[in-house]
Amino acid sequence: MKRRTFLSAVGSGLVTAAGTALPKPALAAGSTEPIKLGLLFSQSGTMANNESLLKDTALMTIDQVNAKGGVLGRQVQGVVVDPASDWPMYAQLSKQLIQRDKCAALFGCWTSVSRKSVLPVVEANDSLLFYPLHFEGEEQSKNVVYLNSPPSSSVLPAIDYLMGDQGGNAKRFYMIGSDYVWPRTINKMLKGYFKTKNIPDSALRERYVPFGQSNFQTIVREIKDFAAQPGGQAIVVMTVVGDSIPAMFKEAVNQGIRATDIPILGLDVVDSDLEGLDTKPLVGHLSCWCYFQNVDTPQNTQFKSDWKNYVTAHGLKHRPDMVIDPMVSTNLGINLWAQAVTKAKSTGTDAVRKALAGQSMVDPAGYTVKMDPSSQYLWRGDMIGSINAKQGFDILWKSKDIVKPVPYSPFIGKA
Amino acid sequence: MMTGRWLFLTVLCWLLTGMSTSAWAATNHSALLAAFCATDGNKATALEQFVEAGVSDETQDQAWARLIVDAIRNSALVCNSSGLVTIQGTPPLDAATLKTAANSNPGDSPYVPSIVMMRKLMVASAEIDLFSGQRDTRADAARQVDKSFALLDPAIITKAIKRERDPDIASVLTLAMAKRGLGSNNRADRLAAIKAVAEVPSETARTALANFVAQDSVRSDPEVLAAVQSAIAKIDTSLSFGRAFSILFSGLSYAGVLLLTALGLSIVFGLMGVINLAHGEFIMIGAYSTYLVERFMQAHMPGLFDAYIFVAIPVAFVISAVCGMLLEFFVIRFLYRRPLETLLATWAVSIALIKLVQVLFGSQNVEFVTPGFLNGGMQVSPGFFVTYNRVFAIVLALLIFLATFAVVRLTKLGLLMRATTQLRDMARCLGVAAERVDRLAFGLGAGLAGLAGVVLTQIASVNPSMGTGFVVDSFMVVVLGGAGSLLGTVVSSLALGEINQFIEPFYGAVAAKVAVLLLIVLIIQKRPQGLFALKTRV
Repeated sequence: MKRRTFLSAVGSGLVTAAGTALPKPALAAGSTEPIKLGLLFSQSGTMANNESLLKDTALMTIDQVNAKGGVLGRQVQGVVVDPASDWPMYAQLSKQLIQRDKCAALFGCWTSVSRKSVLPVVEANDSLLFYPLHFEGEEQSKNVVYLNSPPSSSVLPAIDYLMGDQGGNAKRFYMIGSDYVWPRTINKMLKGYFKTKNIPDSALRERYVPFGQSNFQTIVREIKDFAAQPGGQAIVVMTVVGDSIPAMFKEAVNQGIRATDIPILGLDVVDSDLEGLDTKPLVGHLSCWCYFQNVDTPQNTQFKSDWKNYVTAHGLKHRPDMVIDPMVSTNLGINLWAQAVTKAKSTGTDAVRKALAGQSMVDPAGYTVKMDPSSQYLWRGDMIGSINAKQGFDILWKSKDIVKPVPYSPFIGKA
Repeated sequence: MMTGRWLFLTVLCWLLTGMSTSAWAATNHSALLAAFCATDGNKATALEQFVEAGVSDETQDQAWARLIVDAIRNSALVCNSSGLVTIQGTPPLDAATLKTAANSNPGDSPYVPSIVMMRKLMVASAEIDLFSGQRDTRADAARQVDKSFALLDPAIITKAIKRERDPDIASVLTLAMAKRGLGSNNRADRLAAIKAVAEVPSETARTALANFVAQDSVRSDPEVLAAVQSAIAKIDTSLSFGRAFSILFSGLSYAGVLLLTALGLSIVFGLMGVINLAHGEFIMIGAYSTYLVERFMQAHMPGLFDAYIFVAIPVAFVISAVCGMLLEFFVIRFLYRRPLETLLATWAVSIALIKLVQVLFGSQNVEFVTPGFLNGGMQVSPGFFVTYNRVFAIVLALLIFLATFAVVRLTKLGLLMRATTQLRDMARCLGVAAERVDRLAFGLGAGLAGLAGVVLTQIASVNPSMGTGFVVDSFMVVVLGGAGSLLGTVVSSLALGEINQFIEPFYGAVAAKVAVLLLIVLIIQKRPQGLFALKTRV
């Protein structure tokens, strides 16, 4: 008897629990529970260094949103998980964030391969992933919001600059990359682009090194050799990643290459890669992003001081005076999401997606960025930075206005 | 009366000229700066004006122009919206008078030179330096001018050649002029220029000639064409010798790194038979010890800073050796003759060590200031450039090998080590304290790995997981060389290094790696005991 009442009590409890749980998404606007955002950034493994910066930026931005009263009268809460730089783990944890934690949207991933692993999960669950990195393009999903530039609006303007009078009329190109999808796609696109510019194949050279390669003697020697051939000014387009970046720079410096002889355009070089280097002999080598921390705008001053305060207040191990583009992109992503939710008065994926189209705000780089309604790529400004002696970038050139993102490059498949 | 008036006039004149020169200088400086800062102005023309001031006979102007050009190169020159031009720094300077100026507005950012401008600036400062009083400065400047001969200002170089007393510097400048003289329309000039350029083969000489031969006017002139083609052929021959030497050298330097990282393992795995997967972490510990030494020396003995790398050698050796002995005492001695368990245990230790260092130092690359004498390199012959850090690695690898060889072959510890590994039970019967010998040998192996870490700070990036990449290579070398043979380790690292670097220029780094690994598989199939097998009775 006793046992039966207990069981039925538990049973009815379960039913009521299920009953209240089911209509919850519909209640969203009236509820006072926090809205959850999934933060899918590695805090261990090879990507920990970079991705933990983004995790903390996201948490800082969420704090800021909450300080302004949250969204729809509710607080926002970041749910942090650690995919440990293990690509399948990203998929597993994203599923957990959407299904178990009922996150309204996900922010995360650095490498393209991790994004590709999350993609089927967000598509199957019809959720949204905000992706903060510049990447190889050639992808467009209604469940991914692309916060950074595809190559057509970041790499090609930089190449154009180097081929122009100001950049020294580059005529010959040495492409060196780590051996994986991003460098190979970029170089494929570049080769197609060079073809339209009537640059002969003999003026191009394409080389790949294994992941984590640190011995660049042969490569640098070949670069010197290549530059000495006739046919005009040579430049290096460098898509090596991770530890290979400082290794390559070190070897180039030791073999006497300066930016005035052979400029290196390092597409994945951010300020944090220059940390362990003496950058005096590297002055003048280039990189291109949508944001460099030396840009002089009130928004940027604000962003940098916010980050500094956040790092010191929370005792984080990051450098308080270093901000990189993907951090800004993460910050933009959360703010745009908050704007869209406010406009839609709902956190439902469909409503947010509709409201997101055309959302705009002023970013720290000083541009009024805008969400493209059809491609869900963000229109952003473009900048070329030149390495300075203080382990950072000076801004050499910036686009007058935001640039239209082109997800699918017309130059791929031409070469 | 007359003399008095004369005297008065002379004084007046002297006063006037004196005043007017300094006043003229200051206004002239501001005018030059204003021309540079004008938003619609041509920066290149303005720069030429600076150079003109820099090569004038006024030493004051010369110093000023050098300073301004340097400031522009370092992107420290700020054109303020108020019209004032300042040089960033603490305190900021007024660029015209070089006196302390007020801080510039936060909105005014310095001028960032483009690549084209940076080239011009480089030549500009070299041209100004040609008139410096220091011989070395002039020699450096002359080399720089020669390297970027296409941009030089012939009038200034001619002037510099006339004033130059040092025949070496003058000849470098003449050569630069000759490279530029290829552009002349006079056939005799052209032939003379070709001859002069061919005299000193170098990559820039080849570029100059190759660009020259591509011109239509050259192709139509058979005499010039023949001359330039034979000149190019001559340069190519000497360059290809240089290239062959470079391949040999980079093979040697790769072999040096392999030898360094494998030497410790050849003792631990080769002699003792312990499969130590934490070997790479001892390398990492050596590198971080170097880092601590570097930091310490920077803070407390800045005068001797460059010597930190030598101080780090014993420190890293001792720290790694102690860690190795601790590992042996707490883990490995219970697992002798159980290879599978050793493998798992040392793997766990390896991961634990990586995480520990990550917690202590963070996971980013740590910053090393390269000692001055390891920066840069030397042009040994045309096309053959040697970097000092690689030479350092090769020499140190050789010295460490010789020392290890001596320890194993000539000392009592070495004798006991060999005895214990060859016939353990007999050695114990004869009174050898086998456990102690094991511990010391393991410590020696770990210490050697630490030494590799010291050298690698100058070549590779240093982070907690740096060791994992080297473990595989080290095992490769030791297995191929034959377990237990130090000589085999040398030969196999040399062979692997040279083969790898010989393939890389032709088929790329990935293919080189594949080829080397396949080769090892083949050799191990034919000779499972490795190239140099040690005869043992177990």
